[in-house]
Amino acid sequence: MTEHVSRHHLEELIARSTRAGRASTRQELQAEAHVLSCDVCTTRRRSIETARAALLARVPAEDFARATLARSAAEERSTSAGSARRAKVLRWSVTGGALAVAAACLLWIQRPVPLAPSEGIRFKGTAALEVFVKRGQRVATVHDGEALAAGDQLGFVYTLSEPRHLLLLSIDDTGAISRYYPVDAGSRALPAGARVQLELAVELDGHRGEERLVALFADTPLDENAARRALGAAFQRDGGLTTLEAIDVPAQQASVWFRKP
Amino acid sequence: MWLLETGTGRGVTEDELARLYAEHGYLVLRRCMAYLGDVSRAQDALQEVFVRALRSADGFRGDASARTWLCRIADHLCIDLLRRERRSPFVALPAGEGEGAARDAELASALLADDGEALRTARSLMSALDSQSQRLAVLCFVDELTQEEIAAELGLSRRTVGKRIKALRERARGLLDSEGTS
Repeated sequence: MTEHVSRHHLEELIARSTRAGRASTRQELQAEAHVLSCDVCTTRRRSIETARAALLARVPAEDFARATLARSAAEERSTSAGSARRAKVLRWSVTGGALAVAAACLLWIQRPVPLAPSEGIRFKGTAALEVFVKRGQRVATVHDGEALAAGDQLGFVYTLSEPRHLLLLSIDDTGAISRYYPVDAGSRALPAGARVQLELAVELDGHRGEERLVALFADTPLDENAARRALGAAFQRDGGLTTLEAIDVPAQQASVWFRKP
Repeated sequence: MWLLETGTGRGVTEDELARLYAEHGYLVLRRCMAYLGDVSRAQDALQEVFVRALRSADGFRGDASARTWLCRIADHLCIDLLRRERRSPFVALPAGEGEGAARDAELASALLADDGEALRTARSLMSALDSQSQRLAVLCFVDELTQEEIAAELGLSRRTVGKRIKALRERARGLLDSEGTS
């Protein structure tokens, strides 16, 4: 065998050695023999094994398996409960005119929520909030910097792989903070579900300027006052709402901002 | 192949899933990284691939290896994510500063140390390609499959695959050159 072993076959070789399997086909035996006598392929094999070890150190197999089975079970449980609500979202979109409806603005959350040791390590759960605007018969996605108008209605759809508490705040360009969700104080526990519409419709008032929505998802109820203080501090720290970055609250967070010219 | 042994996703034990992840998790992660270009999103996609695998385990008939099966799920998932991203751009949050972010950065470094050039080449093409060509790029640059192997996987003739790969290489060269000069 004169050519180097392809990535695909190197990976097969490593996977087989992981399960203590032996090469069985002629091609596998040739690949194994080649790697043993080739510096280039040996080096590549080592770099694959090193990176593989880095993943297993980052997310050990047992933790991954436990979290993945739990997430799969949670999604199954939420399927039947969520179907009626998903239908409602679709109706809303269709009556809004919309074959032209853009897909949702997905505010995917990337940072894991810090967990108490007793809860074990959870692999990155999915949490997302989609923001729509309805104007007349048209429904569209809200993107960063979007120009909205008084009378526009905002709608929200979430996706959660695990139950979470949600607090949805807004801050305008004067630094004034409002709570969008829940309607009453504090945060609200939401069940896991895929594309579930929040029971919330916000109609924008005539105030002109810019506004940022900040969604906070946490495993435990959120302290609204602390979240408001952190949002105000971040507004000062980052010099306004368009440049606002993560706020100092132990929660997964995502945001989008819009203008009302 | 544990799925062949158990025959059903519903009966999969934690140990079996852990074994499958230990065996194939890294190559699935790297594949997702090639499509998505971000280690955090790739980790999310990795877990989603295994969730989908659990869900569809009943349909796994063993006409392909577990590796091939997982890679196909990863391909479809990532291509779908890219399609959605085109319609509504991904809103990236600033990188965190905690322990998790530092460990993500370590993992990203390890991924890039493992033939990062192939990942960059594939990723550079993603936004410019249709879904079939996206998959072709990953099979070619990430898996390093031969033209015959790619043709079999995609159900195309070897000649067609050859032409498309040639075009892909030229396109990648152009994109990487322009990235290098900008």
